[in-house]
Amino acid sequence: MKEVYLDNAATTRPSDKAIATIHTVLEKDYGNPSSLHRMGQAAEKYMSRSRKQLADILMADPESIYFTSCATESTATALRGAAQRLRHRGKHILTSQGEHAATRENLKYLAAQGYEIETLEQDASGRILLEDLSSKLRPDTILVTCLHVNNETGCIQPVDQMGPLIHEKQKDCLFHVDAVQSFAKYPVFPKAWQIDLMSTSAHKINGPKGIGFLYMRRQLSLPPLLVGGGQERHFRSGTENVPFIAAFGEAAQEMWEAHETLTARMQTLKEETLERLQRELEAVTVNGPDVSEGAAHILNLRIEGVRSEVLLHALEDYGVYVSSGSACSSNKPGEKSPTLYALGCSAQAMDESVRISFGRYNTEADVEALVSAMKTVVPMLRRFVRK
Amino acid sequence: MGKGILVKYGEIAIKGNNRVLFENALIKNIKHALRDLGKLWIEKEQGRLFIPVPQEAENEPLWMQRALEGLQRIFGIIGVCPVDVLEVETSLTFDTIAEAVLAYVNREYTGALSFKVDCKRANKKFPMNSMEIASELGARILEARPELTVDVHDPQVRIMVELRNQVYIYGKTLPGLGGMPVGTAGRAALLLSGGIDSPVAGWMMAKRGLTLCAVYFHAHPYTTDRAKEKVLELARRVSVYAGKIRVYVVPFTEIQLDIYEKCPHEQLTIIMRRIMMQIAERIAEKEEAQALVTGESLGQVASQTLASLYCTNAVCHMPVFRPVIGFDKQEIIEIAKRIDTFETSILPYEDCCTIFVAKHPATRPKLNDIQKSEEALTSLPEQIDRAVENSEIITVGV
Repeated sequence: MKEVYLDNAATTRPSDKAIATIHTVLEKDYGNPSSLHRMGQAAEKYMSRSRKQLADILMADPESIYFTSCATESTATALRGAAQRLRHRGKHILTSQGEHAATRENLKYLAAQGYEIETLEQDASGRILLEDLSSKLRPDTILVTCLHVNNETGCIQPVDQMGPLIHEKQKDCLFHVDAVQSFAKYPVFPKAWQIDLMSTSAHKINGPKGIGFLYMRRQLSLPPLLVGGGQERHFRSGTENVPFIAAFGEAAQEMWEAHETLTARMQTLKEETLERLQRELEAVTVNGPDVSEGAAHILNLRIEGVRSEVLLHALEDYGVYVSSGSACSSNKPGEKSPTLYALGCSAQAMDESVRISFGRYNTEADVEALVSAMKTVVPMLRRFVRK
Repeated sequence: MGKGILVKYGEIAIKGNNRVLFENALIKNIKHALRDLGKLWIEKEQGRLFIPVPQEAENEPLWMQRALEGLQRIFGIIGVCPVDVLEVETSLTFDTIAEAVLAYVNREYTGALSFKVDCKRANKKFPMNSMEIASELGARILEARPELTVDVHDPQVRIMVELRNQVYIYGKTLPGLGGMPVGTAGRAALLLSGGIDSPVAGWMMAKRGLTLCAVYFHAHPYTTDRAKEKVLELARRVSVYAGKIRVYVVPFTEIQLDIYEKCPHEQLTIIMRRIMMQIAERIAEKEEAQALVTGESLGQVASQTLASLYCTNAVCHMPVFRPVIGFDKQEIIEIAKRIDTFETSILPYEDCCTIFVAKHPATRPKLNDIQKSEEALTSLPEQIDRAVENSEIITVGV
């Protein structure tokens, strides 16, 4: 059975080049970049190559890239570091609704430390309102943090406009962006967009899991989360994960070089999926932004009368992999899916929502397989609804 | 002088002529449980087994620790003691024993403790009786270690000296689980769900010497494969005590959907459980088992009221053991924690789909009504055949 992987917002299949790079570094160039000998130097070269590749995509300086173990670590470092650095200036932090757990949980931690967390208003598609941001910025606002592309609905926040707006009103306020779903897939230019801090991850762009970076504007300096051997210019101690760092650079470059064609292709696949599902099945609606507006790779659908978790397992039998977005074990609607909850979805609507997310390797045939499996499975599952 | 572990077994010592069978089962279980700890030579003593530290064990304290841990998970053992051992030869004198006991005391105990020496003399060839030996040894210890005191009523340290085929010297007994060796009481099929109760029920019946197989009902796509993995992990954890378990994963979706479409919703769970019992019995027959084991606890949920249990039980021909029937949830949880199944049981994969659960299930079902409702399930016999036939069999705890 052919594997039809449509859960690329969760993770992606590593590219051949990423895998080959990891293999080479592990096998041959396994030196420690901190070592003074030739082996160390060889390892160091992979690091600087990757740093350059990643910085080029952002149109930023390699010195702004700090490797971390994942986006969660990047976000934790950014949020906690920013709050600590600016605590004497104020304790007011602004954020959007439907943030990723990495942001939510770290903000919860900061709230417990006495910081004031305020949420921005959004429109019906989930986009924050710039006027609201403007009116909520205060002299003691030290940080604004925002998810660029929402991982559940694909809603795109206007981070390009947020940076200038924030800094015009509060020049010392820091702006952090979670760019996990957008980096290398869509244009993100932190320097031009006045983003101070930005989190990314390799495994969403056909790189390996367990590696990410934090972009930090030059001249900015935050206290590190991890101290020790002083790697990454004393900002992130711990022996560098050279094979994954090298693969991250290669994967990002591959993705970025193809991003325009890829975006166009994923947009077509997305529109076609929606169009065909709505034609073949009844009561299929889009959660979040209109298909023409959201990120090309994410499609969030409500399929009425079918619990998404059951649907997901039924689709497995056809080799089709999608995401349910929420685990039905959780009873609090706000925890099932903060994004859909913020959009006003009912608990039942959340349980009936599936996320289909496209990637570099998806083709027309995958849409075909998905639609054909759904055509069989959905009517069958709809026969059995809770009495 | 050698070292080893003295294993005390409880009930099995009183089983008359069957004792040899029980002892042999226990020895077999010990050898299996400690198979990674070298080739063991297990010696029988009266009411005891002795396991010398094998020659090839290079790190004796580590061997001792691992062996003691292993033995404390074997049913049929009431206590385990790390011992010093002296061979009994014709030349064995009291002085030799005293010397060994002193060496033991000097090695194990420092500071001003109160102590008592207890002696058991199963080997009557030795000229002194146990009282004489104990008091004389006490005197020798006091002489050598003046900071110690004797307290025969409530000593801090009780030094045991047992004269048997060999002489065993020890000061502490670690508790065993009790019960009977697995494999001495026959076979039973455990209805294993992903919950807290059924693994505990299985463990309790294995403790009485039963060999288990397990039956799990899988309703793909309504239950996730992770739920299945979870059940297998639970079986694995029970198998640490109960030995190898064959788990039958029964495909149950077809039957469940049929009940769902054809039977009154409030009776759904009872009918489902009646069918589960029938399937479990069929599997039990295949396995040459003679009983079913469930984790039912009276009144815990709608399907476990007496009226419900009465209906469920009415389809069974085999005895159904429900060892936690009279336990409160908290009591079951305590055992689950002790046997290390609790953390796995509370993983959130179970019963993800609620469509098969009635909003208001019957708590006082009548057998007649249930049987009447079941008449709608016209293809049930074939469906049961198929479910049994298509079960996936996974062996855990090899």
